[in-house]
Amino acid sequence: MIELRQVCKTFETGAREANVHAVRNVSLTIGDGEIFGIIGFSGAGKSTLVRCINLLERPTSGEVIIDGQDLTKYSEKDLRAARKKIGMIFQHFNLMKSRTVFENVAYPLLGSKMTREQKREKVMGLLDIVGLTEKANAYPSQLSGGQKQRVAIARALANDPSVLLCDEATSALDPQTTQDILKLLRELNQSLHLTIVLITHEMAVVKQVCTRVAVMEEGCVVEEGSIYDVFSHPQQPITRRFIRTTTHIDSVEEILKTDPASLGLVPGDIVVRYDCSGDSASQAVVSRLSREYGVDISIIFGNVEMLLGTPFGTMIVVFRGEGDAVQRALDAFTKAASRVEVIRRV
Amino acid sequence: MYEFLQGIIPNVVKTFPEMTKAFFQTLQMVGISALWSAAFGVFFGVVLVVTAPGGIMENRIVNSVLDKVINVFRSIPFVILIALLLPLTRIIMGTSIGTKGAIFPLVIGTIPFFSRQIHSALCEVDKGVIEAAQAMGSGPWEIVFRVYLREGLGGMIRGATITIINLIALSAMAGCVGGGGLGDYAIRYGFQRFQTDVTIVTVIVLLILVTIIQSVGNLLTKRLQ
Repeated sequence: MIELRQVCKTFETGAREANVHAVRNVSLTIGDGEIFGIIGFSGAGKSTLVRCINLLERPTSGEVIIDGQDLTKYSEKDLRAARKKIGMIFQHFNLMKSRTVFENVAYPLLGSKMTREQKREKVMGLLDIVGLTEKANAYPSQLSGGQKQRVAIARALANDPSVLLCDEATSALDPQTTQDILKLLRELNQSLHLTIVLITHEMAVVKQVCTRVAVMEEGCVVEEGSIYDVFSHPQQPITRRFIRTTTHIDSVEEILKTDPASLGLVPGDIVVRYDCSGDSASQAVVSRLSREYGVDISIIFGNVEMLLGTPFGTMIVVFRGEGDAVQRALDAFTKAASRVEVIRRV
Repeated sequence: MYEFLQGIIPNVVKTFPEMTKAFFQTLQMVGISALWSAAFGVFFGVVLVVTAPGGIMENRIVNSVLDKVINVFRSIPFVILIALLLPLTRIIMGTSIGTKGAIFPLVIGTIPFFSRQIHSALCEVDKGVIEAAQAMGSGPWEIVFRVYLREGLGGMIRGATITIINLIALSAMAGCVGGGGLGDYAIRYGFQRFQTDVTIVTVIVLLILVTIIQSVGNLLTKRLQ
């Protein structure tokens, strides 16, 4: 278990007022076997925060407790031993270009008590996990980005860590490769019971693999919760912005604003956005209200996500009908469905 | 053949034993100085990198002192350095003249240059790789030997090539303390006695020497990458 208690990191710049407060008073608890996402725009302090976990950046104040031990109180020697149990992968892979794939993966084993044969077996086993056994004698420059990250993952796992820190590990990869790497991370999480802390600026990444997520802004964690809660009930504006980046809802709202005619809207129509969660009850609400009030409710946009196997969607619907039936149907709808918002009255 | 050579480069033929001797003196001076400079240069280059702000053994005082000392020694013209070092050369080498007397100032003159070459070669090692090594629990010395000196080897060899060629140029000045060598030979015969053929042949010999060193350096660097 990883526990950060009131962690602060300030970079001195000489002048006190110019000091950079990269991380401000962050407290987080990350459970064993979790895939924990930390999302934020660049400069939010997420990379500094993840470096505070293995003390590549020593926190200015606060405690970093891993499995009950406060790493900030460790000696340099103990800290180095502790780091061997915390794997880390990077955006730019950071492989040694003078060493082959095999030698890169074997690097963390240098100086260990294993025999040559044991090391060989271990390295080949790791390369097998990441699917790169046939590239053992290649140099990093001969590999694609995805392959390099696989080598980096194998290297990070060499000392059988319990934690894997991923610093923007998929940000330099194309979408398909990102999928492959995320799939691999999820498999490792399952098969090795590996706790994964994943830093990213892409909501799509968080959505796909994380069980819990923290949102960072200006060095602070502004929101934290299970992936489902954060997606279905975002509390902070910044969280909503991140969620919107993974749907096309913005472009639909843009069309509503600029060119409503293209959606075939007529005067009297009311355009409404609402969320539908795992229970499909709200879906039934649509047809029920439609019958009861004699209005047409048509869906013009729908986006459904699978979050940890539970569907969660955002819908944009148009209410159309005679007289005040539309308004009455809408009032009833607001009560029955979740997060109903009128976005346009034509 | 002999007569043909005598026809076009008479003075070289006449002083050929001296030229051979000068050639080996140059090799001796450059070779021995290169070895000593390499040892100290690598050491100081590594110290410069690891003690730099943000380095793996950050030490502001060591870094700025070393940095300034290197700059001071680099700014002294070599001929003046030879004169300045005379007493020290006598103490350390036992003599301040001859090939032996020339080697000490050559080493002192080359260390700062080579340290800078090593420094810039090691600066090119990706900071991310150093960070990755730290994240994997490597200590500072492990990072120096297993990452810096290994990842930076190509750049270091490139620097060594430039340094050795630079040493050949400096060794030409060894003549002023009776150190001999090809430069001295060219000055004494080619320049002072107006034997232009000596100068031309010396230049050709040096050209070949430099070309060989550069090619070997390029080959090694290429193989590493």
